Amino acid sequence: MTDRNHENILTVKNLSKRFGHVEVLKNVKLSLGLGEIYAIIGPNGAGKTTLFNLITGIIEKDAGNVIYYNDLVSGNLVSGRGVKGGVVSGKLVRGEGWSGGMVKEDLVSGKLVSGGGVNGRVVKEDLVNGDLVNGKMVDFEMNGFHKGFLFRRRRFKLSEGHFITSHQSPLTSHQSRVGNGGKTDITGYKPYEIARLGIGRTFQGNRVFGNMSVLENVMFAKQLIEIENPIALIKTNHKKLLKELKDKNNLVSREKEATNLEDFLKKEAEYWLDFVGLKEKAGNKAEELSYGQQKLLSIARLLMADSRLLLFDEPTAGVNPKYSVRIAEIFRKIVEKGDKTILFIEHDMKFIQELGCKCLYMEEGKCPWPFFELEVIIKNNDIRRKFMGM
Amino acid sequence: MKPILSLLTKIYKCRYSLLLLPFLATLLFYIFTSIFSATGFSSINYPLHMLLMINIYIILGFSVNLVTGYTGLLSLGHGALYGISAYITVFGLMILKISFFPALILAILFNMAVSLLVSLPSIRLKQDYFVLAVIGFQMVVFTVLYNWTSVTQGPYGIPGIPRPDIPGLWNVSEPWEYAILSYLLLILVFIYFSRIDRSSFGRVIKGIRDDELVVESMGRNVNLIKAYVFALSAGIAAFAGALFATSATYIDPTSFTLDESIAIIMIIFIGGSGNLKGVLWGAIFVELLPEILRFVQLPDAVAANLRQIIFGLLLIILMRFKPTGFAGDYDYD
Repeated sequence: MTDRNHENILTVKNLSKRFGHVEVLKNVKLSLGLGEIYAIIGPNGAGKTTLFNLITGIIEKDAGNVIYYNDLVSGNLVSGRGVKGGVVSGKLVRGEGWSGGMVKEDLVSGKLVSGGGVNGRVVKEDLVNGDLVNGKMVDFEMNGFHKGFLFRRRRFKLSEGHFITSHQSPLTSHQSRVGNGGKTDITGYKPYEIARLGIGRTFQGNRVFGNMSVLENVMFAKQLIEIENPIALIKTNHKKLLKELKDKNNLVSREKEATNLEDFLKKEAEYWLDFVGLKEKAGNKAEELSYGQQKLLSIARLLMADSRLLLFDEPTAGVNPKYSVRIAEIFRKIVEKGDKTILFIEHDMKFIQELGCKCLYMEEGKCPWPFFELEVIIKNNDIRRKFMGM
Repeated sequence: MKPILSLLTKIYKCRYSLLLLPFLATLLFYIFTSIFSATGFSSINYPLHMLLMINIYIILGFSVNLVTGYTGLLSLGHGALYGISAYITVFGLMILKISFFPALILAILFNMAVSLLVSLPSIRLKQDYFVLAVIGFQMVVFTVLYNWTSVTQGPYGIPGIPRPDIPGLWNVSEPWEYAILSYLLLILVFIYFSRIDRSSFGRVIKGIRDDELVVESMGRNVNLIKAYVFALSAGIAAFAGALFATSATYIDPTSFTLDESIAIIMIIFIGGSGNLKGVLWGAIFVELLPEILRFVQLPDAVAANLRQIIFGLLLIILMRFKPTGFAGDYDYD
């Protein structure tokens, strides 16, 4: 429990990337706290988008690490496609064992293999195929099996006695968050694995699903691993799953009234569309929206996915002032509860000033300084000349 | 009048009423041909056979719609999957001596296994290369069926295939029985498909068609899902293969060429893809057009070529003016 920082959500250490002869990123370091908004500014070609691509696993790094601090919830624990895992730190409160792991009390030092759950055994040494209850987790190692349909396995090593899972299901409650979970080195993870941990992003350009309706675009974002394969479509008990979903405490609106799974997703999607102000457009095809509205749609989609760390690539590019004010409002609302962090790339200094957030200046793949206030950065003559052209 | 109207609207709005389309189309075709033919009302067996063929093509259409219309992977190998399942059904019926439904299940499983063998290495390929890989698969399958004479009897084909039956209950032999059997299988496929259409899984595969990277960055394992889709589609194609083999009672490899694959994909290009109704319209059109051409008493040699010309022209016109097909959701433009 040495260097654990309760406030952190992501730390990037000495990240480097090279495309052919061009060194796009050189030893980039940054650290993001929970519940904050951060901006990245810098001239074109500074490596800002590449940094996003590296964090989200779309391209592979050459050197360095990205450390993600998992969420600790006292809600449900996760079982994504056969993954068993739990989140616990010290004491866990409530277990909604749903083939995920949940500990009621503390777990004493030991090894946890493929375990988790509510009614289980207490162990001092190795816990094999069992459930975890009563015990304190101090200095232990956990091996969670990631058993997918293709039976791939991955080992997760836990550090600092904080027990975190392989994958968090999107159903994980974030509202009852009580502290930081363990940390995971996500470098080398696949994009979808990183997304499941709670890192979501938008892209430069809108990249909405043009042929689908606006509502479907948002409904898509909620990942229900239990039913997203052809066999589960027949096999899974939809009513039971719906009941489980309704029992979670992270409902956002009228989902309790839902009569079936589709209705449940629809009600939540409508809430997020309302949140960004696109409710009237729900039935339209996404390609029929204006550019600015598509930006809002991609934000709604990300919110539906319930990510903890939201990366926005130029959220206000090509957007008129009215929408950019609205996006600033939305950003503030997102971090209001303190359980989500926003990192965005931006060229509009007014937008950043309005948010009053800290900025990271990037130039030729380097970050010469840590996060600073925008005013401080643009006072630097060098930056004014190179970046602002003044 | 009003209750009738409201009943009709209700039927129209229910998605399962789409299943009436093949029946109605065949009926119309029958009435139309009878009125204009010199001999008057002819045997009903011929339209019933048409209905069977339409249903087979609808099932194939659903199969290819899943891969191409929903997931966006252009597949020109469905003729091969259709052929493999027909041959495996025959193998089950004639060599293993099992009855129709176990043979069908065998064909489904075998088809799925084959599709995984093809899809796992090729699914990572980008669009155009994937198309080529699947065409390659189609060629290989045809060549094997054609030349492995000790097993498939090659170009001589396999005659005398037993008719489908449920032992002790139902021996399918009359054309109307085939029509009912084909309808039963079609309903199964349709119910499953409409479930996909309105599910998270359906949205995910549509998402892959529109933007793979976004789907991946939203936590979905795209390659795995594509493999699922390909296997599922192969499984559905097996329904058609089994029906075809047992209704024709004779199969040879020339029914499963690249031309057949193209005919199958025409169903969704013409009818429209990415939804349920496009396939039905497409299959009806593709099946009935040659019959109508025959009916206007063009010589066979001309009719066959004319069919190709009409299809070709229609494709060009559709791509230019209605890229979604007659009733589709997805725009290939």
